[in-house]
Parts: sequence; C-alpha cells; structure tokens
Amino acid sequence: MLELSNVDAGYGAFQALFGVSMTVNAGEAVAVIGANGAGKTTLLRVISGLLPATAGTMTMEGVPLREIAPHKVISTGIAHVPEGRRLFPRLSVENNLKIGAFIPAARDKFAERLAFVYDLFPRLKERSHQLAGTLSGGEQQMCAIARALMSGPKLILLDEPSMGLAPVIVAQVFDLVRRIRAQGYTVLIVEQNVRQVLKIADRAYLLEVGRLKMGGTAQELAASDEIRRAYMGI
Amino acid sequence: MRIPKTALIGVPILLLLPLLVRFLFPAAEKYYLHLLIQILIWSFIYTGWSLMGRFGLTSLGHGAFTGIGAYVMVLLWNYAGVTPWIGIPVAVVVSVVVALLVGYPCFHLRIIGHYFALLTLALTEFVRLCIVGLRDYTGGSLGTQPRRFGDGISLYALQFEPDRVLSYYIALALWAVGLYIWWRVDRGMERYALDAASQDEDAASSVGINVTREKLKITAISAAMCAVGGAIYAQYQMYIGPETIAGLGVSLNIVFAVIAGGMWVMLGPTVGAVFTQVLSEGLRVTIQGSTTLQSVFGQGALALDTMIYGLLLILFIIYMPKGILGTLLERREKKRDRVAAVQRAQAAPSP
Amino acid sequence: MDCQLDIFFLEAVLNGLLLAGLLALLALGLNLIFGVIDVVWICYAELVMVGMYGIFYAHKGGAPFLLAAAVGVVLIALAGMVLHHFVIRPVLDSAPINQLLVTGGVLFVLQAAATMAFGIEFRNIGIRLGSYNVLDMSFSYARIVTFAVAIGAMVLLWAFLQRTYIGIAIRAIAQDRQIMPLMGVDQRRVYLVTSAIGGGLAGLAAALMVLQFDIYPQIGLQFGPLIFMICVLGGLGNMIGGFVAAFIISEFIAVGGSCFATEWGYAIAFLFFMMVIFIRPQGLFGGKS
Repeated sequence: MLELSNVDAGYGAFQALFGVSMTVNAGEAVAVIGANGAGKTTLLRVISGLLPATAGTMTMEGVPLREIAPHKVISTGIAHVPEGRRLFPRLSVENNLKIGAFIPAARDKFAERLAFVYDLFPRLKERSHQLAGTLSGGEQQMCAIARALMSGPKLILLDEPSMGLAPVIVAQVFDLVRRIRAQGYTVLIVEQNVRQVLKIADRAYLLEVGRLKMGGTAQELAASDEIRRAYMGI
Repeated sequence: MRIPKTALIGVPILLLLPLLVRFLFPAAEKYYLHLLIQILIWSFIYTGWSLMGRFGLTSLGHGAFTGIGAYVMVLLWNYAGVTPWIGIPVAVVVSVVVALLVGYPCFHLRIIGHYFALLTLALTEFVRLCIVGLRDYTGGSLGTQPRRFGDGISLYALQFEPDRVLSYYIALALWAVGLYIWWRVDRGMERYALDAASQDEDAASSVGINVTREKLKITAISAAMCAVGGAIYAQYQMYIGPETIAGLGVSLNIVFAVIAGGMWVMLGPTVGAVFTQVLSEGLRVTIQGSTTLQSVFGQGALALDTMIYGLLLILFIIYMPKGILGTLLERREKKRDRVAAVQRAQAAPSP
Repeated sequence: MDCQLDIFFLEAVLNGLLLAGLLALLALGLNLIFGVIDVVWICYAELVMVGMYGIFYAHKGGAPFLLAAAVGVVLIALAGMVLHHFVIRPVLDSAPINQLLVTGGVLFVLQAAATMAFGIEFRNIGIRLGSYNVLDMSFSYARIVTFAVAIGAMVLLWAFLQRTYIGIAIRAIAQDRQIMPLMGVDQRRVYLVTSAIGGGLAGLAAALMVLQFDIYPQIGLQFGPLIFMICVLGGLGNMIGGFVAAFIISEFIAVGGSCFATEWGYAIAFLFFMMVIFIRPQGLFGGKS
C-alpha cells in the first residue's frame, strides 16, 4: 500500500533522514521504533507532506506522494494523527471530528462516520460538546484518532500515541490501536515505547539517526539482543 | 579614527553648498536652499526615529514627539514669551516624559511587534486630538504660527527663517549632531544590548542586560531628537498644524522614509529624506507644469506623491526591506566577499 | 462643560449604544483577519472609504440603494482577496511589522487614488431616513438601521463560523495553523475566504456609513485608529472582546462628546485605552500576546 524508496529529508542544512526505504502492506500494523531524535516523527511528516522530502520516492497505492500538494495527501487515504494529539483546543469534540471530515469525499458520509466513531469510542459521544482542550490526555488521544477516522482513510499514521500519558492510559491507548486494527485499518505507528508497540505490530523497523538499521517481524525484533539491550533495558 | 574618503570630500562640499547653490542657481537660490534645509531637518528627525526602528521597536507614534516638540515651544513663546532657548528644552522634557510614561509599561510588559506599533499609533492620535481639542490655544486644525520677533532673525527668539543661508547652517549643524548621536549609539555597549534584546529578550535578560532600561534609554533619545526636530522645523516653517507635524500621517512618513533609505545604516535616514523630498518636489513641479495632469486630476493631482509613496512602501517592504542605501551597501559587501573568496582560492597552494 | 444626568445624557448614552453597533462591525472584520491570518490591515478604514465611494457612485448612477450596497459589499470583498494575494502573501513570513507597514503603503495608495479620482470635496448620498422621537430624545433612523444590520451581520457570521465546514476550518486555523493540511484544508484558500469576508464586512460597514456620514478621501484617518484601538482593547483577534470594547469606547465618545467638545470624547477614549493596555497588555479578553 505505502512504499518508500530512498527517501531523504531534513530541516534546512540539517539532514534528518538518509535513504529510508520501507513498505506497509494493506491490513498490516507496522511499527517504527527508535530513540529520541532518530527521525521517527520526521518520517511521518514527510509521508503526510508536512515536510517536503529532498530525495527518493513515496507512493500510496501507486499515487506518487511527492507530486501532490500537502493538503491533498489525505485524499489518497492517508490520515496522520500528529505527535502530541494537536486537537483544536477551543473547538468542541464534535467540531474537531467535523474538521476531520473536511474533504468533500468525507462530508457526504459525515453522519454515518460520526455514528461509527461514537460507537467505537462511547466516551467521545458523552463529551461531544465539550471543548477539546479540556479533555484528559487519554480522551484527547481517542479524539485525535477518531478525527483521523472521519476522513475514511485506508492508512493511519500514528505519531507517538503514548507520549506524555500515564502508564495506565498508555495501555488504554494501545488497546484503542488494537481495536482500530480489528476494524480493518492499516496502521503505521511510530513509538518510543518499544515493548508495548512490538506487542501489537506485525512488522517493525528500527530507525537510528535517520537510517533504517533493522527490519523484520515484530517477534524477530523483540527477540533481537540489540533491541533488548538498547531499547528495552534488558 | 579612520576618516572615510567620502567624508573628506563630502564635508567641505556640505559646508560650501550655499555658495555653490548661489553660483549655480542665482535666481532660484532661495528655493534650492529651502529644499536642502527641509532635507536636513527631516533627516535629523528620521535619524532619531531610526534609533528605535533598527532595534525592532517600530513606533508608528513619533508624530506625537515632533508635535509635542513644536507645539510646546510655540505655545510657550506665543503665550508666555518664553524664549525657545528655554522652550525647546522644556518641550524635550515633556516629550521624553511622555515617551517614558508610555514606554515603561510597554517594555516592562514585553509589548512588542504589532501591539507596540498600534499602541504608539494610539499615542500619536491622542496627541493630535489634544492639539485639536485645545483649539483656543493651538488654533485647532488650522494650525498656528510662532510670533515673529522683530524682523524675524533673532538669537533670543531663535528665529532665522528669512535668512536661508543661516537657516541652512543651523539645519546642517542639527543634522550633524543627529549623525553624531547615531554614531555614539552604534558604538556604545547599548547597541549590542539592544541588538541582543531585539533577537531574544529572555536570553538577553539572562546575561544580565536590563532590557527595559536599555529600551527606555533609546526611546528617550529618540523622542528627544524628534522633539528638537519638530521645534526647529516650526521655527523654520514659521507655521505648524496638527496634520503637518503630528498625527498618523507624519508618523507613517517617517517610517516610510527610513525604510526607503535604509534603517540600519547611519546615512540611511538621510538618503530617505533626500528621496522623499526630491520625489515630492519633483512631482509637485511636474504636476504644476503639466496641463494634462492637471486637467485629468485637478486638485487631486497633488495626491500623486502620496500614491507613489504608498506604492514604493509596498514594493520596498516586499522586495527591498533594507532600503536603498542598505541594499546598495549589502551588494557592495557581497561583491567584496566574493572577490576576497576568489583571491583566497587563487592564493591557496595547489595540491 | 454641561453635563447633567438629564434626558440629553440618556440620549447620548443610547446614541453611544447605536454607534457601538457600527464600530463593533468594523472591529469584527479586523479581528477576523487578525485572528485567522495574524496580520493587521492598517488600511482597513481606507477599504471602507473606497466602498463608500463605490456605493455613492453606483447609487448616483441610478442603482437603487440596496443594489448599490450589495455592489459595495462584493467589491470590497474582492478587494480584500486582492489585497491578501498580492500584498500580504509575499510578506506573510516576515516580521509582523512588515505586514503592518505594507498595509500602511496600501493606505497611502487608496487615499491618494481616491483624492485623485474623486477630489477632496465632501460628498453625501443624500438619503434621509428621518428620526425616531421619543420623550425629548431624537434618534436617527439611519443609526437604528445601522445598529440592527450590524447585529444581524454579526449573528450571521457567528452562525457561519459555527456551522459550515469552511467556517470551522477558519476557526481551527486560528488555533493550530500547522496541522491544517492534515485535515485536507488548503491554507491559502482559507486565507482568501477570510480576506473576502473581512472585505465584505468592510463593504457592509461602508453601506451603513454612507447613510450617516459625508464621504471624503481622508475619512479613514478619522475612524481607522479608533477601530485598531477597539480591537486591541478587546484583545486582538477576539471577536466578542471587540464587541465589548466597541461598546465601552462608544460610550466614552458619546458621553464625553456631549459633555465636552467632540475631540475630548475621543481623547478620553484613547487615554482609557492606553491605561487598560498598561494594566492588561493583551486587552480585556486577549489570550495571545
């Protein structure tokens, strides 16, 4: 579904990604793990167009992503849940979801999708008129993911969903991810919480200082000594 | 101190300029001297404004200080017979006090950028409204004149308008003082403090710079210069009006001229003054001489210079934010750097 | 100074309320532009002035007033988009002061153009709506209509921003600009729509002002600074703040003007403004700074 080939990207003179090549197949959950500053968030931003790639190709179901404007990427079926949730704090939960359905294709199905999302996340329905900025961390993450679902995507990019959340909430969030997968969505998730994410992913890549160092099934990486020592504290 | 070549040629020319003018344009001597005097006085005012502008303190309110300078001096003279030798210092004190009163809360509360500009705009309007409101003394929107003392030339009354050559030298001296002040600020430690503060106030404070105090100092100097400039302008024009020496129009003119000339360079504001005065005069002469323009626009033709200012301001901000002089100097620097780089490459030993 | 708590005082207070409607409408446009795009159109009053001339000439040319007014609204809405696209966009990423100055340039251009095209004489559209008299007080219908239309426009705008997708996008972009592409929102389009609305509001204000005031090229200098002050007082970008601030300032002007001479009403308003800003620099309802 998603194919990256030799992608470079950076911020001005500072290069953050070096020749990254990876794939995400339909129905999979793929994780990208790595330390702070490895380039994980940059990777997702390059895919969704927030940051332009300087070299390489990226295609989503054959559509070349570098050739379309950033705000058109969502129409190819990619929805990005940004790092830190980034809800609109002074809009209600429902309006946040509504803006998720901004693209014309999604507007027709708004009512339907809203019902679906409220079904999946009943807590959001309870709080639908509350201002998003007043939600708790876990609820915000729920809302951010729901917002992404409103556009009817095929692939969901999740940027550090557990960041800044208490451990109890983190477990809930990963449970959410499981449920989304169960609905059939393809997920590319970037995470520092290696232990948890490898439990829900099918495959995973290790990103170190902008380069992909390792790739394989989640079990392979979880079993690898290197990963266990460096990232799981074993 | 290294004296640049341009100064060695420039200074004598400036000192002898009235004679040159008399020689070249015997019939129109008064007119050309008038232009030069205007340029010099406004340069002084613009230089005063640029002391704040170059550090990111873009005030749209300096019309208030020129207005206070002019009106306080004129009113003291007209109604209390106070000589401008005392009147001008008093006007300066009033200006500086107002500047500090407004500046202190602004700087202390970190009001910058848009907000600062809009606040200064409010200040200039407030001053203009007070001037118009006190119409019994100030003549309101119609303006007023300093009372002529004797034949108009007097040391006591600081009046010199009828003698253009004398006026020229006074204006020249004023201009020179303005440049000196600019130079001293540029050289002083305050300049680095303010540069740092304009980039990052928190960082500057953390290295011990009292940002508020430095900003207040420069504001005081800037306001004082504009007050003196306004007063001298009043003495030269022998007329002041709320629109000509105060208000938003004057403030925007100041900003435009400095931006056009170059805000970060010593002679930038002067170039701006030359530019605006020449443009304005040139247009006026063209319009008055051109029957076609007059028939098309009538009275309105005189607004053509404002139109051109506006277009140029837009173009300058978009394409040449460093102004005429600033951009020219920048290009010269870049060329020098390139030449030096080429020379270094040639001089490097080959492997 | 004649200032007693009599019927004329009440009349002044109520006139202040009516004036507040117009000022609030003007402040609304400016606040919208600032809140969304983060720029101040210093030439906003001049846009209104151009609208006034447009409506005047359309009406003189034979169009019934309402049609002329509609033309004015559309004209200035387009002007707003043109202003944004050609003048604001190139400097969107530079220092905020550059944006202020560039619109200052437009201020000069519009004033000069109006002077050259229309001359400096005062013009009046000559539509008299009469006045409403109650007790010993007299209120011009023009003012009452202005107030009603202004409130109506504000309600409509509020509904637009609450209900429509583009309205919500406009509110969202003011809260988090960077992730808008992720929602599929083209930032440039939102800015253009916002500029059109800002311009349209100015055009509407022009239609209302044409009924009450004479038109001349410098008229912008009379109320421009006042509107900026109202916006900053209420908190730049905050539309409710602008409304409250408009009300406060209008009362100062109306009451101050009836007790003293007109200028003093304004001068007191400006002084009040400066004092509030010193106590609370972000304005009464301001959040960002």
